[in-house]
Amino acid sequence: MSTQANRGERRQSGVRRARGVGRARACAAAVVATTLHIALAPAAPAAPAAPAAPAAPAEREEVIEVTVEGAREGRAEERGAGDVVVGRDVLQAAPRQEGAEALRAAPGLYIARDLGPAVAHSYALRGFNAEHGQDIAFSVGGVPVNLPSHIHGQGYADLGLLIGDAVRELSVREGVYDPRQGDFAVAGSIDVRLGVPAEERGARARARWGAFGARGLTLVWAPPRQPEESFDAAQLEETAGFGERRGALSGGFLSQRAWRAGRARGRAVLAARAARASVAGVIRRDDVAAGRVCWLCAYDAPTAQAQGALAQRLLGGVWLTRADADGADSEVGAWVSYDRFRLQQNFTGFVERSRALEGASGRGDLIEQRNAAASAGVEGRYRGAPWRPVPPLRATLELGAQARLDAIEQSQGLLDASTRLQTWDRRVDAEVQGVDLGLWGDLEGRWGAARLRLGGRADLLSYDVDDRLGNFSPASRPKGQYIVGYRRSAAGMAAGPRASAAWEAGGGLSLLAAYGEGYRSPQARMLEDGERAPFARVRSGDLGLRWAPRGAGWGGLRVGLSAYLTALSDDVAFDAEEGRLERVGATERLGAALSAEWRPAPWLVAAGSVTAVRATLLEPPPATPEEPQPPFARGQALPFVPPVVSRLDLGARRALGALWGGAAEAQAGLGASHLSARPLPYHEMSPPVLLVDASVGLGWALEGGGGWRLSLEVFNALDERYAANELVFSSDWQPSDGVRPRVPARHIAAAAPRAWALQLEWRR
Amino acid sequence: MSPPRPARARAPHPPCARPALLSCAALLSCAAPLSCGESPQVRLQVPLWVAGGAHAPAAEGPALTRAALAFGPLYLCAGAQAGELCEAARLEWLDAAPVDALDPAPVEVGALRGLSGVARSWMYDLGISSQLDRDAPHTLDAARALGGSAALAGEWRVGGEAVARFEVTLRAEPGAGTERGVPQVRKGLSEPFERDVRPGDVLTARFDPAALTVGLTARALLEGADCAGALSPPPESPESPESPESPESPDSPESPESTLARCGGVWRVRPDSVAARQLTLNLIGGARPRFKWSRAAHPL
Repeated sequence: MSTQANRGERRQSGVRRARGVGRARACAAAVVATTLHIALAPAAPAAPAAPAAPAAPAEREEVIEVTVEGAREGRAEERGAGDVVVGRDVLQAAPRQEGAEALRAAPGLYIARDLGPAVAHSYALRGFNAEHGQDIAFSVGGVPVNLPSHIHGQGYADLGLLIGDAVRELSVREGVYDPRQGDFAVAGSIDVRLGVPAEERGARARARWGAFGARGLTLVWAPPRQPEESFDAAQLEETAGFGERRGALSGGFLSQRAWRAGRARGRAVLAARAARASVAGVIRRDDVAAGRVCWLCAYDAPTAQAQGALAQRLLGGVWLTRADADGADSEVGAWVSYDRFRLQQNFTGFVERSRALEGASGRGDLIEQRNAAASAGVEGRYRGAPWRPVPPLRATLELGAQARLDAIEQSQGLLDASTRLQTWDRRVDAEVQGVDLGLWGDLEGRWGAARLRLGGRADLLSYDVDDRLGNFSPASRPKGQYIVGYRRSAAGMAAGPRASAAWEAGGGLSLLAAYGEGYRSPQARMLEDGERAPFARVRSGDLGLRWAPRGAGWGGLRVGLSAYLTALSDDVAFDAEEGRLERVGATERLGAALSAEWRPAPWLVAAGSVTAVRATLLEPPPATPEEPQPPFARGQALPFVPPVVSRLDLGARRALGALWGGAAEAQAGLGASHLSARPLPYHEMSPPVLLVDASVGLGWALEGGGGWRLSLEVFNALDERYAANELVFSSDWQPSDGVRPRVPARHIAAAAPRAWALQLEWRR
Repeated sequence: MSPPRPARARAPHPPCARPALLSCAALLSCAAPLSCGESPQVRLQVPLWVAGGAHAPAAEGPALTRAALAFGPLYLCAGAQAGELCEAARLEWLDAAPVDALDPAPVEVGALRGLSGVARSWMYDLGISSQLDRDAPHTLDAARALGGSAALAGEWRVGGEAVARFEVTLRAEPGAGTERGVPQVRKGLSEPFERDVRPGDVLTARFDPAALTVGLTARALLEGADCAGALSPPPESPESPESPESPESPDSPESPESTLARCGGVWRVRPDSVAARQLTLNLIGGARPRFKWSRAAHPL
């Protein structure tokens, strides 16, 4: 990891390693480029310890083009102590089964796949159990990924479209201190930046075979003389899946182009993905203990065997940036996205009754959720030239706006798996149109080593909801004198300050403090007509330090330490009966995070983080007829949130010397994630989990360019048996036993056991 | 009677005491009480006892000599209204046991398992549970042993003297128009019941046998009698003082007197008779147990 401000230094060292071809850039915001032509002597020595393929000496004089980018004094992007950029060497240190697993290197972030490749990961960050993304604003190449008012959960964010080879770095902003952070930036935001660095450019094809019938093919094309942001990547994957009903097919395409024209720069990104997966669903722990179902199995009933999911997504965006000579710069962008989601999942077995068909009950609670979202957004910002009223005071002002429109069609019902998926109840049939308009201002002032930012953001969200099942009367009750349906519109506004301060104390030590207020939009279908849309408000404060001692002896060591307090006015939790998120009340997180990155030798990189948090419920959950006075205890721990999340990434890559007319290189990687025991409802705990992934590889660079690489990867090397997700609710999976259990019970979705993968890569 | 066991609260897993390979890596988890926050609820078991009541029969009318009920499954709910609003129960006992409603001595039949917290309503079945996924109800062992939800036997007294004996087996099962998958007997809104259930609690359900025969008339018994065997001479006066009207019925092909004579003194009441329906209604709606909580070693 590195801070946003320190990216330049890290990149510069990368230039030296890459045979003099590359770029140095201190800040993405303001860049001046010059192109030089350099003649290399025939005997030019190869740079030591190139991180990619070993360099082959040039045989004859060659003229190459070198682009040197220098940055004028710019505007640092970092706000709180939790802002970090995770570089590509850290992202690639440990083996990854899919591109989205790169996110595991983000400090404090834990991700899990509990429903297979066609359903978004479950995320947890800084004490927020973000489910499928409701508390983290994700973007890929600048395109927002979260989907508002999604049927499966607010802010649903499927990062399955990522291809690891094309992930250049992660910009992680923990907390909500940057005025650019909008909806869903509750625990923070993560922008996945795309690109292929100079030393890895070219064509690449990789085949993969692995345990449980896994196989895949990845193709990457990154023309060597184009900017590192430009590439194409495609991937196809297939697996029979571990255990029962976990087979999946998926494929994706990711492309980005960057270009420059005078002072303007442009970037366009495209992504597409499709996935279909069987889903094993959840099983009761007491059934596992009694031997009624095995840990990696699904229930035998047709309603369990019919679980599955489909995901389809297409997105694209274009951004234009201009940097003026006086230091001002501006950016405009536009993006579009289309997403389809379909999930068949049974959480509760056989407890549902039809509200539409009289007397229909017990046909299996196979929930079908469908969501189709067409979204488009525009954004623009302008940062004025620096203003120096009294030296050394230097100030800049940035103003910006974002807008997005979402047209959503969604439905939810119950299917009978034993009769060709007949629909036997309808629960949701709605169309939602939402518009989110956000404005922000950000004033930055610098006085010597001190830096202060004051800003704010306001968002207006409006909704038009056509709830086609609104005012629906259950079949067992008399019909009213009306036509079923409930159309309504609502709007709301959220505004809050964003402020941060930093002081460079010398010796590479910086002290940082930040405060910000953000929001999460409501599920539109829950709104009443004319209601002022209630936002979930988040207030977050952060205090921390960074230490990045300079000098070769420190090996590029960077350490960050922060303490934070975050209060959320209205948290949500997953409701298994409805298969969606429901309100639980106000919550608070008090935590601390420690992260470090170290490159003690040119061939070794190490990064680690520990985040500890106490997440508590501040008030009783909302009352219901079933639970008129929900039990509540002051200081009650929020269930499912891991109090301590730790991560370690180690990567080593070293040249072995000449071999068979080429140059050999060895590589090894290790990634370890630790989750402490997680509190569950009713004073229970889920056991701690330690996941270790490891890899070894051998590369062989051919004399004329290109090469081969063979690697062996082991995931969950300790063969930890753990639950990727654990829920507590009432279910009945044995309807034939004559009695129905109604007390909430523990259910798990098993995580993958130990698995291996062999990869063979060819590059040119 | 076996001595009552104290309620067992399932001890929460102490996160720091887990002997796992991970315990070293979990050092930070243990160092901070991050995961040890207060939880308002714990899983627990509440011993369940059942008891009958003393039966002092009147000089005129029925006097029970046997009152065996199949009791269970039983659910306690957080909401004030059981039934559809008790999809998730606070506590449950998923079994059924025979109860001797004439024996006032408590008998432990099992334990309710569930969560601590306030319970405001209850619902139960009488050994026969409605199924959500099929029309036919499920009969638990306790009901199977009784041949139904309850087996009653007794004498009909006139002037303090037993003039005849009756036997009836009742099936309390859901009808065609009732909601499937919901226990039949539910707490009424006017019935008091609220308890903040904690570890150490004991629940006793006490049945009053007198409530089982409320409203029962000799005429109804006679009309529903299915004669088989004669164990005693026919009574001289089958009429109860509570039912002064004539036992003659225009719909009955046989007069009560002739039925009585033919039955020879043992009235085996048909399950589909008016008397059986009356008794079943009593079983469901009138003979509800009194639920008593205690924290002592002995149930109330």
